[in-house]
Parts: sequence; structure tokens; C-alpha cells
Amino acid sequence: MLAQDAVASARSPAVAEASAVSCRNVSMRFITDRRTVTALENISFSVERGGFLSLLGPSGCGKSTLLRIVADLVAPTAGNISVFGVSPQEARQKRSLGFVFQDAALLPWRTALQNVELPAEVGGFAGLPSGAPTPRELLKLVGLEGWEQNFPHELSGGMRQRVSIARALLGGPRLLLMDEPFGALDEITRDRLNEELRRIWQETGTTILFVTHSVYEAMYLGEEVLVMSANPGRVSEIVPIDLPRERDLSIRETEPFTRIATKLRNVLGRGTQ
Amino acid sequence: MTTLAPDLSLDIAAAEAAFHRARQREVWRRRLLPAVGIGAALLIWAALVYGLKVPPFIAPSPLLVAQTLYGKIDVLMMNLVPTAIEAVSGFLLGNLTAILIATVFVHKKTMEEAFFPVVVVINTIPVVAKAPILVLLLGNGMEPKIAIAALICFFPTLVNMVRGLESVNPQAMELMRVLSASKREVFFKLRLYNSLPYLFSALKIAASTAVIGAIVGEWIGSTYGIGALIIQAMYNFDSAMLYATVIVGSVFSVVFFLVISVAERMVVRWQAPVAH
Repeated sequence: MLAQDAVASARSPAVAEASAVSCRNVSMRFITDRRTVTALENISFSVERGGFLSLLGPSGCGKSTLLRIVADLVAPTAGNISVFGVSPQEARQKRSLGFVFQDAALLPWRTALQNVELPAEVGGFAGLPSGAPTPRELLKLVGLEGWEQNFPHELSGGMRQRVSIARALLGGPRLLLMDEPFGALDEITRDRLNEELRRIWQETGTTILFVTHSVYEAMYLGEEVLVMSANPGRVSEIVPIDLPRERDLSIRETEPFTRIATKLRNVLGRGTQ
Repeated sequence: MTTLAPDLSLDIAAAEAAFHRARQREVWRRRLLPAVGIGAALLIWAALVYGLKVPPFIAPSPLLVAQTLYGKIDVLMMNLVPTAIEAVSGFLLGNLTAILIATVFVHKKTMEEAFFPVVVVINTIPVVAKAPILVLLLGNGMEPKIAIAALICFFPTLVNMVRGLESVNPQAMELMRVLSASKREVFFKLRLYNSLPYLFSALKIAASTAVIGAIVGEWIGSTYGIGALIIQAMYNFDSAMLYATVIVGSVFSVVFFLVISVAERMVVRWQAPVAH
């Protein structure tokens, strides 16, 4: 399957099609009254289809901005981005991407089920593509069977975030962008959701870009970790995570895990000096 | 261990019973205290009128007011009807206009920047000054009263509605963008729902101010309505009638307010119960 893809992309002129996301020399400057801030400088990276890339860095390094650029929520000052071979705008309009926000951003007047159904009601996407999982199936996938009729204020923080993941998965997006989705949760809930996200990634085959400032979360989840430094936001290093595909949380106590964690922390340390 | 367990469950049962008793007491307290307060106020009123021997054309005793309410109920009700029609029509007109203009303001920022100052200036004119202007413009019928009631409702609803439509969770806005939602979809799926709690707090204010507007309108050259009745009673030194009219007007305001509160509870059902 992978070889077939490679052959197809070699023949087609759009080489970028081979990767899910590809960024070339992306820069972002914010102009304010007092000064111009360079949030991102010359960011280049790519994620292969079905890959899982964690974006790791200190606060203010621009990792969220980078994710927003990929989602076409903001336009970069310079550089090229392609998402499945097309511009972020086209990818957004084709519903190739789902976004999970830090606060679950559920609509409080809708039940859990109605929140998951939202993407099928707007943007000219009446209904679901045939064969795609239904809202109920997605709520089951994120472990919320039986909570369909509850309003967000009746759910815990972790459950709300599960609903928002189910919503992002509706319609089967090929790319899931997650902006510190578990940052506001307690550690126990966070661990459980990390495990579930790995499982969902394996079950759905969706490409995931995951922003976090936790070293452990970044490497437990990702197949690769893109480490960023701040002021201005740059790519310090892209570290491959050589861990087995099947992981559970106990992997965090193994020697390879701690070795990679030490490496990541060193790379992060270099960036802050 | 085996002896401890039943003791513990007994303790829990006792604690639960005590808790429920305390809750029950609290419920009764909340019901009774307002009644006690009103009763005390009536007693003080009666004591002052009888004790200071206030003549009935200056201030009536509560008993005299009650007698008037009972004896003149047909006159009072006959005059409440036009006032109620004016207040409710003004309420509907003012609030609908405010909601429409708020919708325009949210979508066309230029309109908001150009016309919001005009609205503020109109709002600074006191009701008693607006009334003669509108009577001259609209004549002596119900129209100027409805217009005054509408104007008085308009401003709070406009301000609250604009706020409600605009204060959408920024991440929810970004979500709608990721979903490529149209402006229309953002309005009907997001902004409108978001504005409802704000709208209802404005409507609750408007419910009582609309009645005030209608009454003030009737003060100027009107021969019917609660407002006209107040003026007549004052000129006739019929203090009991004056007080009875005021009470009828207030009761109507309270009922109007309660209707809106019930509607709010039926529409805005998604908010977490507010802790007391």
C-alpha cells in the first residue's frame, strides 16, 4: 500500500501529495503598535500520511500558531504549506481536517450527541459520507456510550474533551490537529486519554498533529517529535521516537523511553539558552 | 469491624435526616420571610396613618386601599386593559426592533460605529421629556404610548443583544471556520443561541420598564389607562384610589416579569444551575 503511494506520487507532478502535511520556510510575524514579533521563523517539516507528529516546545514558541496556520485559521507571513497536496484553505473546504481545541469548545446549548453532529450541519456538508462512522459510533469510540443526551455542563472536563474529539472525527477527516487538548485536565484523566488517543489513531489511520508542552505526552503519543525553541519560534530538531507501535503507559518506565526523554529535554534546554 | 458497620450506617442515616430537616427549614424560611417583611411594612404603614392621624386625602390606610381595590375593581380593570395593551405592544415593538438592529450591527460594523452614538443620545433623553415629543408627533391615541414603551425597552435590549451576539467563545468561532460555516450558519447555530441568556436579562428589565413607559405616556393628555387614573385620583385628592391604581399597575408589572422569567426557564435550559 505504502509502496503504491510512493509510486503514484513519483509519477504525479505533485510530489508533496506523498506527505499529509508539508511546510516549507514558513514564517509568521505579528505587527503590533509597539513592535513586530516574529512568532515563527523558517519552519520546515513534513508529516507522512497516517503519521503522528507531536509539536513540543515552551510556551510562546509558536507551536499553536503553526497548528493554526495548517488549519487555515491564520495565514503565514511567508512560506508554503501543503495539506494532502493542496493549500490549507482547500483542505479546510474539502473537510480534510478536524481540529481539537484546548478548551473543548462545545456549544453549551447542544447535547453531547448534537455537538458531535454539528460538522454535518454546516459548511454545505449536509449529512455524512456513506460508510463514515455515525455520531453515536464516534461517541462510543471515545468511550461515551450512554452520555449522548447530556449537556456539556453535566460532563467532566475529560468527557467534554472526548466529545470534542468525536466531533473532530465526524466525517472521517484525514488530518486531526490537536492544540494542547489535554492541557487543562488532571494527570490521571490525561494518561487515560493519551492511551485512548493512540488507540483511536491506530483504529482510524488519521494523520495527527499534536501540540503539547509535556515531554512525556509528546513522545508517548508521537511517532516523531518536532522540538521548537522560542523567540523566535524555530525548529530545534525533529526527533524520531523509536518505540514499538503498540504502546501502553507502562512504556514510560522502560529504558528506551527515558533515554529519548533525556534527549528531548537536552534539545529543549539548548533552545531556551 | 462487624459491630462498627451498623453503627456507622445509623450515623449516616441520622446525618441525612438532620440534613433534610435543615433543608426543609431553609425552604420554609425562604417562603415565609418575604411574607413577614410585607406584613411588617403594612403594619408600619397602618400604624403611621392611624398614629399620626393622617387625613385620608393625604395618605390612606392599608384597609381603605384594600376596600377601594375591592369596590372599584371594575374601573381599575377597565383602565388596566389599555395600559396593558400599550405596554405589551411597546414591549414587542421595541424588543423586535432592538434584536433586528443588533443583528445588523453585528454584521455591519460600519453601521454600528455610525449609528450607535445616535442611539445613545436618544437614550439620554428622559422618558418624561420624550413623552410630549411623541404625543405631538403621534396624536392622542394609543400610538404615542406604545412608542414610549417601545423606546424605553429598546436600549437595554439593543446593548445586551449586541453583547450576546458578539461575545461568542473565540474557539467556537474558530471551530466554525474550520468547518467552513457560512455567516448565516454562524448566526443561527452560534451567535443567536449565545445571545439568548443576554436577551432574557434585557427582556426582564424591559417587562417592567414597558409598563412605566405606557403609564408615563398616559399622564399627558389621556382620559383612560392606569396613568390617566393616577393623575385623576391625584387631582381629586382620592388617595385611596391613587394607591389602588398604583398597586394594580405594579401587580401587572410583576406578572409580566414572571411570564418572561418562566419563558426564560423554558428556553435557556442548558445553563448549569447557579449556586446560591
